[in-house]
Amino acid sequence: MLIKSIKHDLLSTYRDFLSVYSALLVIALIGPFIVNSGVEWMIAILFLGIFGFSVATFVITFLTIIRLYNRRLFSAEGYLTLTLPVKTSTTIIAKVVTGFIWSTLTVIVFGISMLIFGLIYYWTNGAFKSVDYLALMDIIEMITDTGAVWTVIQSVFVGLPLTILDSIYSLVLLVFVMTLINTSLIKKYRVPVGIAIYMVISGLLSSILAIFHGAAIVFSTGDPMFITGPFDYLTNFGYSINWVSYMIQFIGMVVYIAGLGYGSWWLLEHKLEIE
Amino acid sequence: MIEIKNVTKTYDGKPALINVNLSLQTGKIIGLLGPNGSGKTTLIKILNGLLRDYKGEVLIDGNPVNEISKSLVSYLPDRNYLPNWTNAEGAIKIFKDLYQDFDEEKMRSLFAKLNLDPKQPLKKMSKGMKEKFQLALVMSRNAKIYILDEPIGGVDPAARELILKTILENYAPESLVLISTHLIADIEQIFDSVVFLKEGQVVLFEDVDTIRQTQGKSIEEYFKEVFRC
Repeated sequence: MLIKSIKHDLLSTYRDFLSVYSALLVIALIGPFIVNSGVEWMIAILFLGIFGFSVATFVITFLTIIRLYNRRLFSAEGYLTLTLPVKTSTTIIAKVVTGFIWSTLTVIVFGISMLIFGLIYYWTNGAFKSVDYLALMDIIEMITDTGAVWTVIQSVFVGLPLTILDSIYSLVLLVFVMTLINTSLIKKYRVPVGIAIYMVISGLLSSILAIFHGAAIVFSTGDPMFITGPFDYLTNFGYSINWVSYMIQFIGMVVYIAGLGYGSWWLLEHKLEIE
Repeated sequence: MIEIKNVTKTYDGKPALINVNLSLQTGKIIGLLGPNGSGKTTLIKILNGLLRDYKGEVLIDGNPVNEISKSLVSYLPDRNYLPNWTNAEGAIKIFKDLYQDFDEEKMRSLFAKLNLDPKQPLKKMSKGMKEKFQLALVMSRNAKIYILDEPIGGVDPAARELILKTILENYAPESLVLISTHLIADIEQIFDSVVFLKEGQVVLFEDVDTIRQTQGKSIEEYFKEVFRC
């Protein structure tokens, strides 16, 4: 039933995200030609647009996820969602997973769009034709010889679980707050109250975790005293993991997710008051 | 089938339901009647799990309101609860996936009878068409209980007749049908029993034949007498 719930949540919301992703890809495809046109005011508008849209993409994603939760759970569609023969916990998990899929996809589509933008820009400039591929291969080999690339990949994978947990935590917090403002406990000014509660809980929980840990992953590029060439940074590049801090963050996030998930479940089971 | 014991619900201290006790059995079409604000929709929301903060107990086929009770109830709310872009095909996919008792063939046949285009999305339908669309979906479940909140509320008299006919032809005789309405004259001929709700309290729960015999009046006439200000 969980898979079916997620499937229908995705089917019900893909239209909202399709427009954002289409706009990103259109910018990626048209943007390079505008830059190459050399018309300064157009380039200025394009870069302002790209900057604005980059910020807007993530804001729109966040707002669309809020709208998704509100529409699917607490507006007219909630009359269907909340009367389905599905466990309350399944409903909550489906909403969080759907939100996670969309936010992850937004990051991926954004990255791909920027890559397309860069490739088209260099390709239309003929930049690839003038590249000295032998020299490029030498540089790549020197970089890979330093081991820095592998180190970066390793550190990304080490940091990935925390990033995923952080993203899930934000979504569960969102579900919790939106559930709370749709219960008999909050009768008036639900939107401003919801925003205030989100900020307070978010700040409070972050502060509690911050008391107990420092940085989980510490990057280092060696002692600047000994850096004499451009590759010295890469040769000395590394990272160390503060495992105590890492585990505190990991366990803290898991506890927060479980606590807020349980809170959402309890509110839906005992205090729900859909209008 | 439905046991409602001492249910009281308040909104901001104002009582919407006061100590409601009802025992509704299968094999009957029961009218839940009352003027606007009498608590009909509140009671229906409680039965369907959309209101959870109340006092008292509700049991549906022996279960509290949960995923098991929801699997037994086919619920028609008083509003459009499907996404606007959905057409019949989309709705069939949703219902087929999520309700084990959904009968796709019945749905298709109901759509034809109700003159609805299966490819037309809800956003391009009139209010009456939307009501018929949802009714077709709800009646296509082979449920033990049908709860219909104002099924003829926003449609013209011709459509009302069609909707009532659809209900009568498609519910299983061994099931329980609970219909809330304030348009009594149009619908009273299909009721076996009626519940009168007045200011959140059950003032009458009786078979319609008994009312007609003892009062010598139609249900609508008796309703007007009971609810006269």
